[in-house]
Parts: sequence; C-alpha cells; structure tokens
Amino acid sequence: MTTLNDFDRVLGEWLNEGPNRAPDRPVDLAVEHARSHPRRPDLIGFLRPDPMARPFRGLGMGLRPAMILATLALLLAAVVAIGVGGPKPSVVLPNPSPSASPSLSPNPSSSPNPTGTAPAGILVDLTVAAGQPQTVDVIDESGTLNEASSGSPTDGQGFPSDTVEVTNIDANTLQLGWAGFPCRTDHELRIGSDPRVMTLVRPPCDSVTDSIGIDRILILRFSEPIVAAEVAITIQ
Amino acid sequence: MQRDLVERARRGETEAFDALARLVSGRLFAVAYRILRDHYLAEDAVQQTLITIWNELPRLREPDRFDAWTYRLIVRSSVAEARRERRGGTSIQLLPEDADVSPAPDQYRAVADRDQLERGFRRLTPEQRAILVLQHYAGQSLAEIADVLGIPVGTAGSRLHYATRALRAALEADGRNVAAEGRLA
Repeated sequence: MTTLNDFDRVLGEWLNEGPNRAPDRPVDLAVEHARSHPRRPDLIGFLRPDPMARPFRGLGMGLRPAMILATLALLLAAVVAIGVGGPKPSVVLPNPSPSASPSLSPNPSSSPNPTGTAPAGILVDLTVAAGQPQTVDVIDESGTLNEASSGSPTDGQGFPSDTVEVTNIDANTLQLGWAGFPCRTDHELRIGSDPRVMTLVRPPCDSVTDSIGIDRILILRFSEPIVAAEVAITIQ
Repeated sequence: MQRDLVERARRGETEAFDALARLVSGRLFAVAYRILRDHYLAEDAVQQTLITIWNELPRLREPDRFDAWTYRLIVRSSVAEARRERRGGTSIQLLPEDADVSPAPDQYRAVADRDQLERGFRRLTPEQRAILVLQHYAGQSLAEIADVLGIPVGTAGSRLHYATRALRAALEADGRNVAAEGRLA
C-alpha cells in the first residue's frame, strides 16, 4: 500500500480522521451519576495511594534493597506477631444470631456485630485466568456473612480497574468483581458492622506493572437480604 | 481553567465535575473511538472513565497529572470494552451523500489505503491499537506513553515496536490477499 518510509505519516493521517467531539449521552449519564453519588467525607483519604504514583520513583538504586529489606522485616514481624497471638481461623462460618435483625438497618452505625465477638476471617483462594495466586481475607464485622467463595472469571479484563462492580446473584448473595495486575496479591475485604459498607485492601503490585489487568470475582452469601445497589465499597 | 475545575471537582463540586467532564470528553472519546473503531463502545468507555474520574479524583495528589491520568483511564476502559465485546458485529461506515461522485485516481488509492488500514488495525490486539493511537494520534512521546500505561520507557518502546510490526504484517498479508483475489477474478 505504501512504502515503509511514509508509513508513520499515513497512519497518523488515517488516525486523525474520525470524530473529535463526544456525544452528550455518556457525559450526561456520568454527571447524573456524580449528582446521585455525592462524595462522603473521606477521613483517611490521605492514606490512599495516588493512582499516578510510581513505586520507588525518586529513590536511588541503592535504596531499593533497603526498602525490600524493610518490607521483609515488617513481614517477619507480622508473622511472629501472628504466631504469638495464635493462629487466625482460616475458615469460620458464623451462623447468624437468632436475635439479629431480619432486615437491614438504614443507619450504618446502628447495626453492631450481633455476636459481640471478634470478626472472623474467611481466607478465599481466588480463581484467576492468568498470573500469580490471588487471595482475599474476608473479615466480617456484621456477623451476617455465611460464606465467601471465588467466582470463575473468564480470560481478559472485563471489570474496571479502579472500582468494584457489585451485583446480586440472589437476594442474599452478592458478586464482587474487580480487576488488577496479575502479580501475587493478598487482598483483604473488611465488611463493616453494616454489611453494605465494605473496604477492599489491595496491596500495590511492585513486580508486575502492565496496563492490562485480570479479573477477580468474589461471591459473598449473607444470612439476610442485601441489595447490591446499596453497597458501598472503598478500595484502599 | 482545567486545573481550577479539577481542584473543585476533587472537593466534590458536581457543577465543576459537569464542566470538567464536558471539557475533556471530546479528547477521551476521540482516543476511545480510535482504539475501538466503534462509536457505541467508545461511548461506553467514555462513560466508565468519567465515572471513575468522579469516584477516584480525590486520590489524585497532583492536579497537573490529570491529563495523563485520564489518558490511562480511557485506555484501560477502551481495552476492557474491546475485550468485553463478544457480539462480533462490525460497524458500518456511512458514506457521505455525495459519495457517488467518482473520485480521482489518486483518491481511489487513498480510499484503498484507508480500507486496508482499517482492516489491518482491527487485526491488532486492543493493547497494540492503544499504543499506536497514543503515539500517532495523541502525539505522545515514549516517556509520556510509559507514564500513561504505567510501564517502563523501555517496555513502552518495545511494545510500540511490536505493535508497528504487527500492523505492517497485517497490511502486507491483506495486500497479498487482495492481489490473490485479483488474479482469481
């Protein structure tokens, strides 16, 4: 079609053809979303990672080993602390208390853990189509979580990277879907005293940085009905 | 003006976000369309990107990085849309009303080039299309592309090289097919 010399020029000209103005529909819908989802005060926002931050940027090569050693030391300290404090139950299926309210309270702070015990953790090995192993430690403070298990994502990235998509499988079951880098990631999902308020802790991935992520799907079965549209998940 | 809107939208002012979204949507749509080659998929990618901007804007520490961040978001959304597309449909490019006017011979060549490019470009992976769009449409340098994609500069250069090579290979294969069909006719 063309010589290799003017390949770049032809490609550039061809790409320049086409629309440069967005239709109103996606903008209107996004603005409508913003109006219907006003931001809540985020008291720990300063702790959240900058989406454009680059790990180790500005550090000399000599500092990288120090950072790695410090991280290893922290991990070792955490392992020792867990060993001293006793093992955390890996799978606990707390039955809902008979006294638990059968319906969700409209006030997030008025639904404390009905068991009055420390939150139980459920360690879930996530099924992923590619990459390193992925886990989620689900900490339930509401006492309404019956079961947590992995879904079966397909190959490729179907979920957005910066949000968690929540859908109802049935009245008591939620599906959480999100995407991330295919490096080994040990997530933590904290379900608050109101099960509609959750926090997903996603550690940064230092070893693999790729523009394309892989999907994770987590299935949560509750003892009470829960509506996906009312669930707010913060990613840390 | 944009920086002021970014600052105000970060604080949660929906009016500022409205203005900001309308200010940047054209750029986002243009990039998404060129990656996806589909008007409706590009709309979906823009909508998803704008919603992510609203949700995640408070985390962006440096407002000056807004443009690079939004390029990153629209590329990710576009790649996700491309992967999600299972319909397998093809878009139809409408001809202008005066399309029956016979073009000059060199215009025939230009049309053939564009058709070949369209076919060849569609054969690339979404990631390959994205990196070509960032360089040849958005005019970004390798360092800027690396920043947008969150990858080292060397990796960006390598990906650009392979994307360019893949497109050339697709065009050459297409040219051979056209020539073979011509001989059979």
